[in-house]
Amino acid sequence: MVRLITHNMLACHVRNCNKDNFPLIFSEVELVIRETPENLDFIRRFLPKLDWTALVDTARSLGDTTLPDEQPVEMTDDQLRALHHVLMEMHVEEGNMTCRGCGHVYPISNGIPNMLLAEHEVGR
Amino acid sequence: MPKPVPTPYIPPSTDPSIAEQSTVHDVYEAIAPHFSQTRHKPWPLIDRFLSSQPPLSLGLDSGAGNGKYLVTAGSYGLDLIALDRSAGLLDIARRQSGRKGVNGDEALWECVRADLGFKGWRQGVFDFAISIAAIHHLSTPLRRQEAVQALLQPLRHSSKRPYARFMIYVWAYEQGAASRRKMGAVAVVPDGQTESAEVDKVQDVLVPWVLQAQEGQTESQVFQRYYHLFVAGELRDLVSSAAEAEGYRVLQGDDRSGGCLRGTDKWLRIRAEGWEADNWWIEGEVGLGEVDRQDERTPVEADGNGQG
Repeated sequence: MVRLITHNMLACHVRNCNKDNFPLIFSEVELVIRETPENLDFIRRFLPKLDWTALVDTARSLGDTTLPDEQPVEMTDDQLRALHHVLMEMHVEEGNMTCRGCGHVYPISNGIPNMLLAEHEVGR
Repeated sequence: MPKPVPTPYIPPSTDPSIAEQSTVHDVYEAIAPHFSQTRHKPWPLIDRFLSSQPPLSLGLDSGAGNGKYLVTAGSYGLDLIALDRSAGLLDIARRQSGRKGVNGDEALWECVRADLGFKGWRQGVFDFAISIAAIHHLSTPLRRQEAVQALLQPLRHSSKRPYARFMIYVWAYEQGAASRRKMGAVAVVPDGQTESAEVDKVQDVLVPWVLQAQEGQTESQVFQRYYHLFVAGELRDLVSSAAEAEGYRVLQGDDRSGGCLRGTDKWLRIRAEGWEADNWWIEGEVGLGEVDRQDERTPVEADGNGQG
């Protein structure tokens, strides 16, 4: 599944695509919400790695508006629960992820994003 | 039909990506379900490596195949993302057990389809990374080095413990007497010669995979997979080259020169390495600045198993 936690870690890797290559923009999405056991310690541990703005923009593009614009300095448990839902329970099953920089489209099929590039597109 | 033996590798194309398509990727797609049936049991050192990661760590399994280490990672309370080139294997990996859903259901694992040299991960997102029996499928030294670089790039670089760790396994050229792989049989036989003369062993080989006849078929099929067999010291050299290309200072074993590292210097330390059951393995860690050696935990080979 492309959960939003994974989406938050993936950038475009086309050769010489260095600008606006993150986050990838979802389109034609089939979204599935799968309830997942809450593990707020895992979420706390992931916080330093999180790109907040990318997550908020992406969640909103998928219709979830529970996260505030700015990352709270101290997260309450309720805020962590909202974050858990967005990161761990929102799954994109089918659709596309498009790079804003170069326009490359990464398709998602059966919950698995295809990040393969043709050999000439690969950066060295 | 006699049991097929490994043969020397002659690249089917001068372009390594085209060569690997037919000698690695197409083969795994064709044999994925059968291959997966033979890959269940975790190798002990990798089990131990995973068990030593702090709970709730997030890791990358690069070249995850059927995702058997997802199950192991799940049993230790870790999260692990599977990366592989084969869609067929990832479809098996995502449905591996060990990830708890609600109401006791099994949940699906997260999988990403990409090459071992995939450079799309944001930096610093993984607490650990493994690449088990995968990098030996890349057919040039540069491609193998890029795979190691791609494994290091997304690791978290911390100035204090716990440091992010990685483990790599590859098939060894040096095969033990009890080996079932019979790599020693690899020999160059000139065309037209029926008896195998005593000739050089080769490091780049095709290893047959016999797929028994399926329903509606009369004959079994033999697929040839490409392997680069690593010689002693080669895996360490590969990791060192990859580290240097990524701008790391490479520290060896109990090297204490870490003291002269400045706060923003990236370092990579090889914690342990060895030969086990016809494989070479290496375990390392990466960090920033002065190396914190307090509370040093022993690496996985501590019981004397493996130092090669």
